[in-house]
Amino acid sequence: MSETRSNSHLYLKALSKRFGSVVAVDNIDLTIDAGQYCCMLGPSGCGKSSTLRMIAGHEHPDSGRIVLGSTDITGQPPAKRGTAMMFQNYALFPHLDCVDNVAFALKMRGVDKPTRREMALQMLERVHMLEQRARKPGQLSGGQQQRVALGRALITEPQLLLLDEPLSALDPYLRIEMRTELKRLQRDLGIAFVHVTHSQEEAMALADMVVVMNEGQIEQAGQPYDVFNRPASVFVAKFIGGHNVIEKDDQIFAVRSDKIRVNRGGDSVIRNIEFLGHTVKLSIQSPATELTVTCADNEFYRGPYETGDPVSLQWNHADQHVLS
Amino acid sequence: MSARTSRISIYLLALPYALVFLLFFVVPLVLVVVVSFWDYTEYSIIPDFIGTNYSDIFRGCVARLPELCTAFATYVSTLKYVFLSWFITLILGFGVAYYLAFCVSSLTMQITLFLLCTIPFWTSNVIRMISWIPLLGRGGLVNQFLMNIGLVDEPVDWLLYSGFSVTLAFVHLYTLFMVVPIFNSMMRIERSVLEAAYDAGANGWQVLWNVVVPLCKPGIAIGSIFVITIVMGDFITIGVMGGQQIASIGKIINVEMSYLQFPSAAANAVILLAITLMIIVAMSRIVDIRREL
Repeated sequence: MSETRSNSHLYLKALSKRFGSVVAVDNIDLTIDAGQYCCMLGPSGCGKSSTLRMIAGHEHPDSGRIVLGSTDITGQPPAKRGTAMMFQNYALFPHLDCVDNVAFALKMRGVDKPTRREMALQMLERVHMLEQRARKPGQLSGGQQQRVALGRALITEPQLLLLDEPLSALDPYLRIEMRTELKRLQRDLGIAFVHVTHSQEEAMALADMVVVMNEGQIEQAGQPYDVFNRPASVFVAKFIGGHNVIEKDDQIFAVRSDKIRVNRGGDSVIRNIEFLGHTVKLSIQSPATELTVTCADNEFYRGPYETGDPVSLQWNHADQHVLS
Repeated sequence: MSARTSRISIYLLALPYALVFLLFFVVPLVLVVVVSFWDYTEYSIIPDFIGTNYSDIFRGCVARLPELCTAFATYVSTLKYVFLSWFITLILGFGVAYYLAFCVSSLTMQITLFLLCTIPFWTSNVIRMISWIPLLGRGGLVNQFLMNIGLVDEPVDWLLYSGFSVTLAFVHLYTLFMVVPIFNSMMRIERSVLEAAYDAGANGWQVLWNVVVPLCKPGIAIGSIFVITIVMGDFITIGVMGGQQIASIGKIINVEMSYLQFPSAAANAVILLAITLMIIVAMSRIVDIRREL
C-alpha cells in the first residue's frame, strides 16, 4: 500500500472548465507530488473549487486530463479514483450517527455490518470521536462534525484527500487547532492533501506547496517561502499580503512591509496606526502611493509615532523584488 | 407593557382560534362519542349508556370467521382502497417530487411546474370525478379509441364503476397531497450530502435508498396521513366512481345518518376514528414527524 502511495503523484494536464460563457478553469497544468500538502489559494471565483471538484470527479472537465499515479482518472466516477473529498460544511448524513456516517462508504461496497462497524470505530478513535459515536450530526459541534467528516473521507483509504475550505466554518480559535491537526494527520497518513482556501495565512501555515489561482489560471505554484518572498506577479504580491507593490522608473516591484524603515521627518504622512501585538501596522501616505509598514513593537515604542506625523521611508535595494 | 398584560394579550390572541377549535371540533367530536352510546328506535333517539351500538356492528362476526361478515367485509374493502391509493400516490408523489426537487434546476421552473400541478384544484372534487365519466364510460373516449384501433371488439366494462375507477379517482385527487410534503422534505436535503454519497461510492439507487428516502420519511409520513385519513372516511368518490356498488365505512355512516340512526352512525364513526388514529400513531412511532414542522 505505502509503495503505491509514494508513487501517486497527481498530474493536471491542460485542464479547462467553463460554465456557460464563464471560464472557471483556463487550461491549467499542475503536478502535486505524492505525500504533499498542497493548498490552492485564491479569491472566490478564481477556479480553485472547480479544480478540486474536477479532481474529485464531481465536475467533468471540458478538456484536459487528470492523472493519479499511472492511471488516467479523467472519466472515472468519484469512488473509483482513489480520491476522497471532505466537503465544505461537511455534508454529513443527518439521519445517521457517527459510526454509520463513517461506515457509509463500506456499506456501499457491501462490507458486512460487524466488519464495517469495527473499522468505523477504529477510524473514529483516530479522529478522537469515539466518545460521541452514537450521536447524530445535529448533536455535534462544528469541530466534531469536521472530525467525523474526516473519518468518513479517510475510511476508503484514499491516495489523495481533497478538502474544500475545511476550516472556514469554524471559529478562529478552533480553526487554528484543527489546522494543526490536519497537518499532523497528513504527515501520519503520508498521503497528499489538496486543500482549497481563501486564507493566505492558512495556506502558508499548512502547505508544502501553495498554488495561487486567479481568474481560472495558476499565477504561481511553489513552496510557501518562495511564494511569499518572490511573488511572481502583482496579483500574488497583493493577494498573499504583507507586500507593498510600488511602481517607480517604469518598474513594478514588491517590498515586504516589514523590510521598510520609518524615519522621522519627510514628505510622507502616517495616516493610521494599528497595534497587532508583536508588531505595529502603519498606513503611510507617500507622495506617490499609500504604503503599509509593519515594525516590531519595541522599535515603534522607542519613539512612538502618532497619526499625522511626517516621516520618510527607506529600504535596502536587495529587498526590492521586481515583478513581471 | 408589563409582563402581566403581555401574557393576557397572548391568551387573547389565541382565544378566537381556540374557540373555533372548541366549538367546531372538540364539541362535535365529544357529542359523537356521547351519542354513540345512546339508544335508538325507528323514530327516536334516547339518551342512555349502552354498548349495543358497537356490539351490533360486529354481531356474529367473530363466530363466522374466516367468512367475513358485512362489517368486516366493508372494513377490508375500505382498507384495500386505502392501501391501493396510499401506495400509488406514494410512488407517483415521490417521483413527481423527486423530479421537481432534483431534476429541475431553476427555481422559476420549479415554481411554474408546481403551480401546474395545482391547476386541477381550481375545480371542485366532484367535477374532477365526474369528468372521468365521459372518458371511461362504455361509450367513452377510451373505449372508442380501443375499439377504433381494434384492440378490443366490445367496450371494456371495468373502466368505470369499478375498483379501477375508484382507485384512479383517489390517485388523481390526492397525489398532490403526497407531492407537497415530500417535495418539502427533499428541498431540505443539501445537495452536497448527495455528492458526499456519490463520493463514498454509492450508485444512483443506493443514494436514493440510503440517503434520499430516509431523509424524506417525515414528508412521506405527513403525505401518507393526508391520503389515508381522507380515503378512510370517503364515501362520495367511492359512491360516484363505484356506481354506488362498492361498500365503504363512510358510505355505511352516510346511509345510517339518512335513516336517522345517529347512535349507530356515531358508533361506526368512533371505530373509524380509532382505526385511523391507530394508523397515524403507528406511523409516528416509525417517523419523527415533528422534525418537519
